[in-house]
Amino acid sequence: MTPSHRKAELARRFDAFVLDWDRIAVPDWQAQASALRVAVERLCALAADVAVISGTDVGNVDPQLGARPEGPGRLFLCLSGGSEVFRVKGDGPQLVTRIGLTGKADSARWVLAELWRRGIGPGLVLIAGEDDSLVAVPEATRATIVPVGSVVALLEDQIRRREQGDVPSIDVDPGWSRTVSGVDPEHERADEALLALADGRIGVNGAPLWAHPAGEPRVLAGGVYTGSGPETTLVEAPVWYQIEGRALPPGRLERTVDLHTGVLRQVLANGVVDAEAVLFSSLARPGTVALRLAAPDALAPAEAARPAPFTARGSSGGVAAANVTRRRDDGVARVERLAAYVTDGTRIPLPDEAIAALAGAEHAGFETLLAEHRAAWARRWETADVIVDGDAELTRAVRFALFCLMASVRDDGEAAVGARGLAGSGYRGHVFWDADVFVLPFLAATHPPAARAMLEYRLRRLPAAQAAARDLERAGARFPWESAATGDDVTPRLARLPEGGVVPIRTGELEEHITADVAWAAACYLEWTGDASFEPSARELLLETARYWASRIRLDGERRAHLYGVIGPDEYHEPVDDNAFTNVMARWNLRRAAALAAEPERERWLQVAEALVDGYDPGTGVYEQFAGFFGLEPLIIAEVAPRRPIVADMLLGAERVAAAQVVKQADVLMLHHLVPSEVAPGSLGPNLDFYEPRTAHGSSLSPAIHAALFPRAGRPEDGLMPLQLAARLDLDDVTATTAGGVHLATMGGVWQALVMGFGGVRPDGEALAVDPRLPDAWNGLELRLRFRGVPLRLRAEHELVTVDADAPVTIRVGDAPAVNGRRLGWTRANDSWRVSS
Amino acid sequence: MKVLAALDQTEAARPVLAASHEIARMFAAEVSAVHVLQDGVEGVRQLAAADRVPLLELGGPPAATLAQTVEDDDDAVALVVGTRARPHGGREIGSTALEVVMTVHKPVFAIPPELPAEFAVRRVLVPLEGSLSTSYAPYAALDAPGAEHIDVVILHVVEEHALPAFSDQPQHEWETFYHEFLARYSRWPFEQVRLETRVGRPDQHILPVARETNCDLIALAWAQEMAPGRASIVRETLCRGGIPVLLVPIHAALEAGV
Repeated sequence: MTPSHRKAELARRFDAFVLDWDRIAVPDWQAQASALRVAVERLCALAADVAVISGTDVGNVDPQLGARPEGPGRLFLCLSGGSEVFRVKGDGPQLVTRIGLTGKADSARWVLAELWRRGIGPGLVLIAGEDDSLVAVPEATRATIVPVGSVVALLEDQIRRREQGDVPSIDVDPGWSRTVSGVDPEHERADEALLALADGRIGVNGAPLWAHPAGEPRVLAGGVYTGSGPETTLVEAPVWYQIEGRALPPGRLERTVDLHTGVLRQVLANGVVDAEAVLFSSLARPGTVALRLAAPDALAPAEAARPAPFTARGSSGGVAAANVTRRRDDGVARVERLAAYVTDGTRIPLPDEAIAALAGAEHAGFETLLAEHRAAWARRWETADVIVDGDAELTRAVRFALFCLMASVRDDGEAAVGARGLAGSGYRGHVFWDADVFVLPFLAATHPPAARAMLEYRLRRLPAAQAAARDLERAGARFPWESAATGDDVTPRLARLPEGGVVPIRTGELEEHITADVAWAAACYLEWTGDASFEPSARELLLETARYWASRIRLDGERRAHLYGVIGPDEYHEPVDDNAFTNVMARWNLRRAAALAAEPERERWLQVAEALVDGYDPGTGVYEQFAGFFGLEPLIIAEVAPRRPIVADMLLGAERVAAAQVVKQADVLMLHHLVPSEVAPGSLGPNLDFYEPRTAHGSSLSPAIHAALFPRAGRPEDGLMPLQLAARLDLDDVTATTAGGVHLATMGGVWQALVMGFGGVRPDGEALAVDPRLPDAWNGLELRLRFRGVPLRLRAEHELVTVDADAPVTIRVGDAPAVNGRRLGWTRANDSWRVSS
Repeated sequence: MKVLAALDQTEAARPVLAASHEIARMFAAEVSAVHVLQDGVEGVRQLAAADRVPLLELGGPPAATLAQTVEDDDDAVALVVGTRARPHGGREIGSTALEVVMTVHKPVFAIPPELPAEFAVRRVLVPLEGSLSTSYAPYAALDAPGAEHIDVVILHVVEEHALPAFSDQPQHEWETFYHEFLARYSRWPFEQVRLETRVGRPDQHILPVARETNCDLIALAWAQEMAPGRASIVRETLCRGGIPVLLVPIHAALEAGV
């Protein structure tokens, strides 16, 4: 590398430094190192991490270096040929680990892994060293390596950059980042949704910092609604990040989001004007957002400011927001803006609360806010990441989906999770079964507090559900199809269709499976977490929903139980009687609740459950989707449609579709996915063969479910296409509505397809069952999960499964007996799994 | 600025002149009449004199002459022509009118002879196919001082090859779709615009929607090619409508930097 290239490479700020002590950091073990000590301590004070690697031991290095950093950055000494790691604080070095590392390469690996766990990717690391064993580790591929030169001068330059407020970099790892180049007027709003940052409380879209006619900057407050009835919609909070009075000049704007750390970087270059900024919505302090900008005067805020706090009132809650802008000039305008939002769905927060939150953020300072935010995201990924070994592009798409899911759900209080998350105002923030059935399982298995908050949302609206049941002269609780602030149904009653004309919408009145879906979500949470503290609440939900079903059924002359006049997941047919999905979910609900109930409810519910018709034909193995479905026109949409997915009622007309065996989305097949123990053994294959060709997939919820079921039916190759479709639905803006927010249910479905479908991973009592069925193109599937409170890393290959857990956990793979342990392995031979370690 | 009214000796001339006054009002322009001599001129002279508009009399092939005149006149913002000679007489567009709309690179208003006496542009139907190349042209043509308060009805016809893949909850999906469609392809303020959608063939829906929504004018962006598909839309709209049509060449809008 030429000197000028080297200089350009180093002309940015790094966030961590790895120093090869031997002959690089110091010329020899007797040399003075006071300048180095001062530099190391100063870097740590400025929130940078430093690691020193040496073949010698702490008795040689520490006295020579003598650093005693107070933090917040950390100093590690990786010594004794890589076998010992010390953390150095004000009181000296403390041993962190002695785990048999064998050389500098292992030290480097340990350091890079530790930095990764704190959200410092290799792209943010500067390695001063030339020892191949140190620098050639694969994990250091994207790090910047400086073989020779004055380490002290290098560090002092970095100190200067931090002190003057250089804009931090982000680690542009292709597997973890997304870049949008330029502003395309046609797709800008979709791009802004895809670049959105959120922390569960507020969502900030990725609009340019400088005004552009195609942009729609927006900040949404999760769970805070305005309006009433069907007009209820999410409150929009004041936009904090746009630079007032500054339009985007000609030039190339590049916006990159780092999914690993939830940081968005914007760089504007036009050969004359260069501006760069990073911004984030703190996952460590939800509601706190931060921006750092370096720009010429023409692109910076005119002056520092501390405007009066702002309050936005919703119908029952509100948002209070405060912000401060600091500006310093040294030939470049260096701007920091912090903002604090306080959101509450039930009361109007006081301006003082926002001021106090802002004061806390100011006290912490930008560097600390950034460090804790990065670390918070990195911690979330430790128990959530998915790697499809053999498809890097799919892995990246899946990570994008998981990023959106994690960002959209708060993990305290109650979490109202709208269908389109916090990336856009589509669907008005209304909560559907999307949340309970499609989003919650991912969080139950990776970050239970968020799933718990979603259930809290439903629990707090149990009284409204009970009132809704009473209004219909029924018992128990009836949850609404669309929910928002109060728990009352907010489903619009009319829709204007593309064909012209207005049609009535009856889902609010008739799509009742939502009641069982809520109960299912509670059970799903318990299965993954074993959270005993939630059992009383789960019991309440299960009992009340079972009471509803018991009062809803009608018995015929032969004492068979029916549910008349409902809408199932397939909304092309309405109303129907004895929708298989609704009936079997109700049956599951009754049986599950019966185990918790006292007599006489217990006995009655079991009888009702047994009596509920489900449309199953043992002769064919197929469930009739609803009474009379088999008598409809046997139209195979797969044969008549120009392509699938397709909105079949627009293609064929609503009347024709309603009279035909054309299914909008997985309906019967949802049972095989959600409650496989409630369906007839061996019935997945026949129902997949019958219903999949009849499914138009006119709902974005459908492809991922089919992707999950094909592997379970022994057809993993057939699951690839719907999986890819679902994974790329928003990235490719397939619906032309991603501008209104991302499809969270589809994203949750993608996770379920990978974990439960291809991985065959499901809680089974105290054990986690695993039954991988991978397509040939994949080398393996790596999952990070949390089961019964234990973080674990699972890798499934075609004939090998390994589990590495933080604590003993019980796993059963295939037909092998369940085993308990921390590091477990299985191999497959002749279609049978056996424990290998 | 001026609006050129192409007058001939047929019944079509009077409505062309009447429409020209309204169009000139929209553009804050003056009306100038132009006539290509063919079979007499007295009727045109009397019409122009009665309306107190200057008349330019030219020789040569009618369509080519009109096209050249409007292109050469930097002050001319639009040309107004009659679609055919007689009201309710035949369904085809006149050959001169057809040639004019295919060659003039400025906006052309095609006026049916059935134009109501009290013609005023209060509401315009703008069919949009959903592409940037065609979306801005109508806006550019109607971006005039007198058009600020015109209601705009944008019509998007979803053709079979473009049927959407998904519609999760129609009560929300289409609201989101409509908003984004307008954000992408409409340059009018949201409050000035209403979106109508239909499914099927555009040529079958433009006129019915124009009538349903009481539009006084239809604005079509086009590439001035009578290619299959596009030709049917223009022909259908010009021949069967009874509603004035503004034809805006796409490339003209692009050249204007829109």
